[in-house]
Amino acid sequence: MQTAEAPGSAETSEFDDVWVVIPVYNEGSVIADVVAGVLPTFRNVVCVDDGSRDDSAEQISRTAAHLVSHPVNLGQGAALQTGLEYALLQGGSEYFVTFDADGQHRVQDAAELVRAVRDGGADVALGSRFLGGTAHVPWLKRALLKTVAAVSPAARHLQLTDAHNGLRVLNRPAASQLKITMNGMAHASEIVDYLARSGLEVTEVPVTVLYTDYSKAKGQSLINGVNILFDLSLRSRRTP
Amino acid sequence: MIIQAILLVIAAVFLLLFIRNWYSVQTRALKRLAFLIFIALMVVAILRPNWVNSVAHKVGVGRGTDLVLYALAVAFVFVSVNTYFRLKTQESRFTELARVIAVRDATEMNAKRLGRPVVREALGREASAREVPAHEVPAHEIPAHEATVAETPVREARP
Repeated sequence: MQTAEAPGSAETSEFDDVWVVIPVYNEGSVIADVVAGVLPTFRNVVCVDDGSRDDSAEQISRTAAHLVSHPVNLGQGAALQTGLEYALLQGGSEYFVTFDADGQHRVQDAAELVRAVRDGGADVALGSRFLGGTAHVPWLKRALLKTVAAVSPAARHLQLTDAHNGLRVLNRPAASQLKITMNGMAHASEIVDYLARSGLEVTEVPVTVLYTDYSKAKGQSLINGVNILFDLSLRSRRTP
Repeated sequence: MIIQAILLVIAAVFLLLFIRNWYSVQTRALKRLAFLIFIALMVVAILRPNWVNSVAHKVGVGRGTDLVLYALAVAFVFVSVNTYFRLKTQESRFTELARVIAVRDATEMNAKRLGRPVVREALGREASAREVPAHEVPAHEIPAHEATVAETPVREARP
């Protein structure tokens, strides 16, 4: 509804048909800044507050971002799916960006990904930490992510270098087909898996991930990889 | 020993059910049949405890009690797996429900916070000190620093 602007109006910008989806869980201290960083480039932002126990929702409601609140905590995958469904309902939405709430992504990278989908003919663009220089990625994280990308059949099929990057852009057909069922952190692999089966055109774009102290402290622990692998192996085998 | 073969087969069947569809019609029928057989065996074991012992000897288990223990272990695994899948289904329904509620509430709330296009248009016609007609200014276009939207729901009041 919000984006039904008259084309050519003085206020329209290149990214009026883009919606940025930010899943938020207990990010009260940074979310307002992250949103403020995104809004000048992308005017359509929807933050999905995943039942945070801190003041995230209040922080978001002070910004000009749309706020969707899960009544209870459901997990990041569920929050992403909710945000995408909300954004799909908004008139004029064509491109959907998934963006992490901890400030680890750069807005100019998101814009680059949108251009890759809009002008590059791809349906989906995924951010990759490893296409450009990898110096900024901590070595243990680098080793783990490279391993995941190498052992995941779906990631290999798509020839991905980074299977777990939170920065993605999907066009409308790709976003409306996507049904994230893994509520927890396994959704990243689930999305890659879906893309590999879907036959959609997927491209990777080099991005820089800002490993701030905050995002490092919030990031997934390596041991959580065990949970992710368990969830995924069950799920993917049950769907023929 | 026969009991090893039996238990291995049971484990294999569980694994197969686990990774294939636990909820298919055949599986459900099988589960019910297995339950009936289990009850029948239970009744037999209660009425003729010595039969259990002789069956145990035949399949290579020392005592009837051990055989019952094995049966219990199998039943436990079955219940665990069944509960796991039931919880999964429950979780996905619950998620769907929460999502519908969240999106519905948000649509209403954000329309109030950020302004509905229709509302904007109506307001824009009567009063707009700006050069750009108010209906062309998206409500969420306001820079973040002055976007204390919650406090100023009336758009055209802005300077």
